[in-house]
Amino acid sequence: MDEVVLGQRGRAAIDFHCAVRGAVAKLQRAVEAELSDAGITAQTMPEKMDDRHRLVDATLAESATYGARALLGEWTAKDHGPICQDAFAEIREAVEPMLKALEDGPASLELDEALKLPAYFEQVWFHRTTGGWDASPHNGFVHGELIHKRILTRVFGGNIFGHRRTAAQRAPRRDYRHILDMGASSGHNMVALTEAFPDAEVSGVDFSARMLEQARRVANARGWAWKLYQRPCEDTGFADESFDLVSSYNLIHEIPPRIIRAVFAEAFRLLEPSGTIIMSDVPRYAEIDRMASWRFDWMARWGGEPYWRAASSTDLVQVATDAGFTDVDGSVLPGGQPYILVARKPEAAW
Amino acid sequence: MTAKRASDPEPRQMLRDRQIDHLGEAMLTLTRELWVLTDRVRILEAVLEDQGLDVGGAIATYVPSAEMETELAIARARLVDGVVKALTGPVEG
Ligand SMILES: C[S@@+](CC[C@H](N)C(=O)[O-])C[C@H]1O[C@@H](n2cnc3c(N)ncnc32)[C@H](O)[C@@H]1O
Repeated sequence: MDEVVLGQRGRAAIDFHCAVRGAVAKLQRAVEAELSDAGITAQTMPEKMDDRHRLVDATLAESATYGARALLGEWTAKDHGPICQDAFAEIREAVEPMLKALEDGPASLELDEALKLPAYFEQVWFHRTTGGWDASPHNGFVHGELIHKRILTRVFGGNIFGHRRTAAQRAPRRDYRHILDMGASSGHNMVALTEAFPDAEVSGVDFSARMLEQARRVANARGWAWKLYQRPCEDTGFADESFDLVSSYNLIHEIPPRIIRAVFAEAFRLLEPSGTIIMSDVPRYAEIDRMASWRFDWMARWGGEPYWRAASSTDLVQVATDAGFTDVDGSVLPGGQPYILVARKPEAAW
Repeated sequence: MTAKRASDPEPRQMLRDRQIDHLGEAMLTLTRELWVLTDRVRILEAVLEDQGLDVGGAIATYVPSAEMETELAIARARLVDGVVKALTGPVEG
C-alpha cells in the first residue's frame, strides 16, 4: 500500500503538517536553551514531575518561544487526524477497490461485535486523534498508512519501523513456531516479527476492529496467514501455553498500570515453558535524565496520552519478575528509543 | 487624526482574551491552506509548461464561468469555515 498516491490537497496538507512539526522540534530546542539560561538543566530540575512542570511553566511564563511551542504542538496534535481523513476522502474512490480486494487472502480476522470495551480504552482519543482508533470505516488505512507512514516516519525518522526489527532481533531463540503480538493495531510490529521468524504462525490481538482490518490487508498484500482477533490483551481467551513468543510494541504506554500487570500475567499464562516475551515501549523515566523525561511528559500531557506517565514510571523489570518471568532484561536503545524488555518463562513452574 | 463622527460606534474589543490561542491556531490553519494552494499553483505551472503553455498572462485575464464561480464559492466557504472553526474551538451547547 506504500504505492498509494495521495491527491494534491492531501499531500500538500501533510507536507505542511510535517513542516510545522519540524518547527516544533526547533522551538523545543529553543525552549530548552531558555531553560538552561535560567539555570534549569537535567541536573537542577526537581525530582517530582509535577514540580518540574510548575517550575518550567513559571520560568517561561512570559516566553514567546514557549507559547509558540505550545501553540504549534496543540495545533499539530489536533490537525493530524482530520487532514489524513481528508487526504483519504480525496483518493477514496481510487483506493477503495484495492482495500476491498485485500480483504481476501490467507490472513484471517475474527471480530467480536459483542465485545464490551473497557472505559480506560473507550473514553480516550489516543494521540488526540479525532474519534480515536475507530473513527471512520477506513480508519485503519488512515492510521496505518497515512498517519504512521506518511507523517510519523517523516517526523521521527524512518527508523520507527527499524526499531521494531531491532526488538524482534533481541529474541534469544530462532525457532519460534507460535507468536502472539499484543496490541497489534495495523500490524507494523507483526511485519517485523514475520520477517524475523518467517516460519512461525503469527497471531495478533487488538481492541480496534478498524486497525485489525488494516492488519489483515497488510498480511494479505504480502501473502501472510496472520490470525487476527478482536480481543483484550489482558484476557485473550487462548489456551494456556499456546505460544512460544509473546510480543508488544507501544502497547504499554496506552494502558493503565493495573492492565500492564494483567498483560504480563496473561503473557506468562499463554507462553510455553521456556517461551519468550519481548515488550517494547517508550523509555522508562528512571533510565533517562530529568530534562528528557520532562520533555516526554510534556508531550504526553498535551498529546492525548493519559497513561504515559504512569506507564513510563512503572518498573517493567519488576512487573515481569512479579509475573514469574526470569532472565528479565530491560534497557533503552542507545538513541533513547525504544525501551525493550526481554524475558523468559522458566522451564518448569515450581 | 480624524475626528470622531456621530456614526462611529464605541470602541470595543471583539475577540476575548481567552480566544488568543484559537487565533494562533487559526493562523496556522490558514497558513496550511495557503501552502496547499502555493504547492498546487507551482505544480499547475509545471504541468502546463511541460505541455508547452506559458500561462501567466492568460491567468491574469481569465474570467471564470458561472459553473466555476459556484465551484470556487464552495471551496471558499470551506476555507473560511476551517479558519473559523480553529478560531472558535469546540462550540458548546
Ligand atoms: C500504539 S498502538 C500499537 C502499535 C503497533 N503494535 C505497532 O507496532 O505499530 C496501540 C494499540 O493497542 C490497542 N490496545 C490498547 N489497549 C488494548 C487492550 N487492553 N487490549 C487490546 N488492544 C489494546 C489499541 O487499539 C491500539 O491499536
